Amino acid sequence: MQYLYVKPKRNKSLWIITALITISFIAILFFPELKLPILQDIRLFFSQFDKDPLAVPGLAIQPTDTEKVHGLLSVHQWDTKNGVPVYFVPTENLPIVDIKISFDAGSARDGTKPGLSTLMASMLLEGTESLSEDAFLEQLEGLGVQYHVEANRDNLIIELRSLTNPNLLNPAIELISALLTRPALTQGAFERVKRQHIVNYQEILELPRKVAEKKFYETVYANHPYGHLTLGTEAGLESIELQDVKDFKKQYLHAQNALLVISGGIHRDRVKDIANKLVTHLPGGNKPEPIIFVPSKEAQIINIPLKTTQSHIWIGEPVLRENDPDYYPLLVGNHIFGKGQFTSRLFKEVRAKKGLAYSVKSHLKRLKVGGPFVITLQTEQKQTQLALNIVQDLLSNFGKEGPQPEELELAKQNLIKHFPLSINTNKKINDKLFNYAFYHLPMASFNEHTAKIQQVTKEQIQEVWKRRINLHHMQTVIVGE
Amino acid sequence: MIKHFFYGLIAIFISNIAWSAPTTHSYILENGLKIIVREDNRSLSVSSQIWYKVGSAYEPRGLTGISHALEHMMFQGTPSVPSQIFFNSIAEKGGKQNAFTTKDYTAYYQTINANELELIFKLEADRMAHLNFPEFAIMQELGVVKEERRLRTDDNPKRLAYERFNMNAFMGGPYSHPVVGWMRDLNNLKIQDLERWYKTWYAPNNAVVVVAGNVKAESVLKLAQQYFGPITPNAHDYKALASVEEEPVGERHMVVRLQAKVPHLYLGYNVPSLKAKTTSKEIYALKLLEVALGKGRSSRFNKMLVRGEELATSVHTHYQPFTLYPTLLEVSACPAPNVKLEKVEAAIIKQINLLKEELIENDELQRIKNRVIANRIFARDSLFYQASELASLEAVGLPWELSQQYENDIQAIDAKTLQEVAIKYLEPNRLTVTYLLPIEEEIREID
Repeated sequence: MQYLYVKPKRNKSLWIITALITISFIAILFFPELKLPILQDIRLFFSQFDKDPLAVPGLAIQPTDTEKVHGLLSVHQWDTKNGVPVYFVPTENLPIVDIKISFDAGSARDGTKPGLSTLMASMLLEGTESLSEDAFLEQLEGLGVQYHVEANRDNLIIELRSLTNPNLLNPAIELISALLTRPALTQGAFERVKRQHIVNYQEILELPRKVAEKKFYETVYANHPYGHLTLGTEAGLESIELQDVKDFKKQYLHAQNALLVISGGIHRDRVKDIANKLVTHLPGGNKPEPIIFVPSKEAQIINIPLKTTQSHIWIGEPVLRENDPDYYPLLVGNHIFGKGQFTSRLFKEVRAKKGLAYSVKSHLKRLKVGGPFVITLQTEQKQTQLALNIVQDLLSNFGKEGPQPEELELAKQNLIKHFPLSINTNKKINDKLFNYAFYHLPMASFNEHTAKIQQVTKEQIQEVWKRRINLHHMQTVIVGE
Repeated sequence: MIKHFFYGLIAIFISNIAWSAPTTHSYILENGLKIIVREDNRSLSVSSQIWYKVGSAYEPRGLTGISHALEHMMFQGTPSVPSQIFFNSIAEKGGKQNAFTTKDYTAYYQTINANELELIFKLEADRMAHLNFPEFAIMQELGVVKEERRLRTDDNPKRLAYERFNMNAFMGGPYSHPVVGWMRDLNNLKIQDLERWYKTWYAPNNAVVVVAGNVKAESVLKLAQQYFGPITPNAHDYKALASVEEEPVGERHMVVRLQAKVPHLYLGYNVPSLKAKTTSKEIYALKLLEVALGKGRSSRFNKMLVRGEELATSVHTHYQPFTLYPTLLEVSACPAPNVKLEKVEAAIIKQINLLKEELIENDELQRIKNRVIANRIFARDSLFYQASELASLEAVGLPWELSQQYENDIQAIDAKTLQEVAIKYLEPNRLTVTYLLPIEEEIREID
């Protein structure tokens, strides 16, 4: 009896061994440069996929010692030879690739010239050393690609979305590579772009919402690199010269300050080529000093008079850090308090019960340091005090009493079950991947999301809320008459 | 010549990729409800949408904004599902939901795990037939709607000027009032008006359900039969809306002075929509004119006005051909500092006239076609987009199948057609121009 049991087992393992040898042989044949991975790596890799392990043919046996594969989304990570980290997620069924190249060169790096990083971003679309603005844009747009350049507080991002066909993608990569390393930066284009930015700055301040945002950041982050709109200030923009842009490029747009994130229906070998073409020609440089901690300050209320029908109210303070140990309790707490769509306390009390505002929310914004917790709402002038009282009561109650058990359960269910929906397109996958990579969130937390949220307790939220959302540090900005 | 060959080649690359045609099925239930299913199993999720064929274009004088206000009321609950239960039951499944109202339709949508489609159908069927209209809710919800109007329009000089531009461009027609409605009408709106509006327009035979995602068409149909099937159709004759092409009445100029910081220019030509035209050619030619003139940084306005002559800091164009009534090809522009709006307007007209006088080169034509077609492939990344594209056609009485021949219709337009259409429609008698000028008064220091 025993013998009978053993025999088929041996047969099975023999079959597996034969299969492995065959696979290895094929691998060696087709990928001669490849160091054969140990079996454990193969098993680990396969376990990452929830569906089809061979979704991208030929990919399965490639990870080498310098390249890691993480989690649910099968994130591939390696560094280019000049040290730029590359993150890649293969996706299926659509011939699309999304690419983000970023630099730690956001408006926090503007220095004494607020607006410099956004001007830098715009100047990247003004032609290259060998192509005029018109020729460059005509070629790029003729390929049917979508592209976008922007500066945020923490980064400057160049985004490209292309069809994967090499006849479209390859020339697009050449063009983006040229704008990164050899942008024209001519005086004529600079003068024009600078004027556009100044007009744009004046335009957005027609909106009371933007006036409130500007004052909020000026107040919360006074004398800190986050203390102005990413667009800059009018005086800052006026003061910028072309040489400043050139210096900024030299200081920040270099390999040691870059990150490349790619998702799409494309083979990893091609991604390696793309990565090399995009960033290996970037010059070297020094990593900038990290952005410093944001100090809290005494609570205050600031009124900005403006002729409007509504008051815009921003209430908040710096809270979130990079890799914040309190992240999950803060996330769930904020969801219950003011973020959960149609279910938050702010929504229920300010909008559903009283009809005082169309949009009333609290946000927990991620920044390198001191990302703000901020409540925003807008209401007709005469209701300002009423709305303000309600929000302040909600805020102090939440700190004292914490969430109700059913609120906590609803928030957890929503956050957990929504997670797969938040990565249901190629673009969303790439955006999320970028966020993880740029803010150095452990890639493993892609998988741990559910567990981490599940673990959050009422007591934890209450404790963290009391400790981190400090009413004595709240800055209140009210724009209106 | 070489260039032309180059972009032509790119067109071949793009069209080869374009359609591994997605599988789409459609059905009509006995009560008249149309069901469209797009099977796309790239993710585990689904976009479920229900579109009612009613929007601000349907509203009579004095009841402007009622369609949008009713959209808000649709979240007020039913006898069996009170409002907060409605919100919570979708939230606890990880779903996201919302709604929007336009001139032509009102749409409700959810993104949720495909397994939860039954829940969505149950909720949507319930609120299609049994919505509550409690007197107290209107006070609260109309408060919210008015705050929305203040936020989006009243405190936003550009939107306010644009609202007035539309009054002038549509000359009292169904598109001349804003979707959100005039404040005076919102102030007078009664709960009985809303209930009557609901009973008139919210019926299975005036709606279309579109589902895109990880589903099988037959099971969606079965669920639809189960939940929407029992709802009785409305006897109302929904075909009554006639779509007439507007005659070119003459050039309309308007100056709006508001509390703004920079001047702005709005310009629009009365042009047909696909609904109003038997021949679709003109519509696709207009779409390509929109792109050639103002979509993207390589477009003519950007090349000549923003870069070239540096007269404007931004210029945009807009044309959406799938509407119930004739619509506009719009241009909006922000002048460069110290440049008069008259000068920007003249430069825009000059570019438009160039398209009438000279045939567009094949190279440029191919480039803009490439962009239009590639953008549609990109959009297929989103389930929401896929569903709403199908629904937006059906909701204005066009067959969803049109979306599948869009590429061919675009490719078929030649330079000659483009020129003819420009000559026919981009002419002064169809033109409306609005200047937004900042009020010349001391603007209070905000710092």
